[in-house]
Amino acid sequence: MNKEIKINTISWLTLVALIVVSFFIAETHQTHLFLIISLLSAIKFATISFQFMEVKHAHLVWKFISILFIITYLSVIFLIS
Amino acid sequence: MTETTITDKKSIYYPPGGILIWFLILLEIFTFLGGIFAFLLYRKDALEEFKQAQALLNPLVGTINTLVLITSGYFMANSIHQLKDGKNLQSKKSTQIAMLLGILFLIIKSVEFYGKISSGIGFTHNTFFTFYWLMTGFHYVHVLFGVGLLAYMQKAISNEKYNAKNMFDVESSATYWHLCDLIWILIFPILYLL
Repeated sequence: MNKEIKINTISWLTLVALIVVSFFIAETHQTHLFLIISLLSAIKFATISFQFMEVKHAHLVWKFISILFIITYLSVIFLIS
Repeated sequence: MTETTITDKKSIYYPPGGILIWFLILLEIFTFLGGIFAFLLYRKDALEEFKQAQALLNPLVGTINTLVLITSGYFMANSIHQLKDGKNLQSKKSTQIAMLLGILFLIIKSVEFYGKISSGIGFTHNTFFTFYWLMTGFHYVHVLFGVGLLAYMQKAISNEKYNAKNMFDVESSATYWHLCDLIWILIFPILYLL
């Protein structure tokens, strides 16, 4: 199997696990739910952009923009919450 | 094309899928981000109203739909590598699976939309549902367009229009399809889980 497809499979399984974990964490209604779920979303976003969209092979600027977006997202989430 | 595409990806002008699709991605995700922030600000001012409205959504259905869309993205990501390896048949099958999962996502979402409309929960029901219809509606249109793109791509891969040496359009389509994943990953938790 192609090495990248193997990494895709690992990434996909990780995403599935994170999505399921997010669902069960949300059911617990715990105090820091907002921050935990947002952090998990940021990890999912990074996995999709870097692996599925191959940003990891792109120029540094595109990697920087992807990370900048995630930081902006998390920063505002933390400020609002 | 592909022989140069692989090395060109390190160039700032040639991100995977091409620079035009990346301008679209940036425009889209920052627009949705603005929507998310507006949603969160309104939510902060009317937390109880938002929580009551959110209780009308089914997080399990939302989670299942997220898994469907992410799995679709996984198959589309694989399709690109299979095409690069000259495995057109496998690439076509992966694109077909991605497309069918996209259709499944739309069916589940349509059932949810129908349920809401039948219950009289429309665009002006309350602030939460105004955001709900705006964000999920726009995303729905994106997925609908993406399914059309994948339908064309799987047919074109099957007809050998695209192959290991000419696959730029397929890469752009895959990048667009992942944009649908990205948007959903951001809007799903704030609407269904938080």
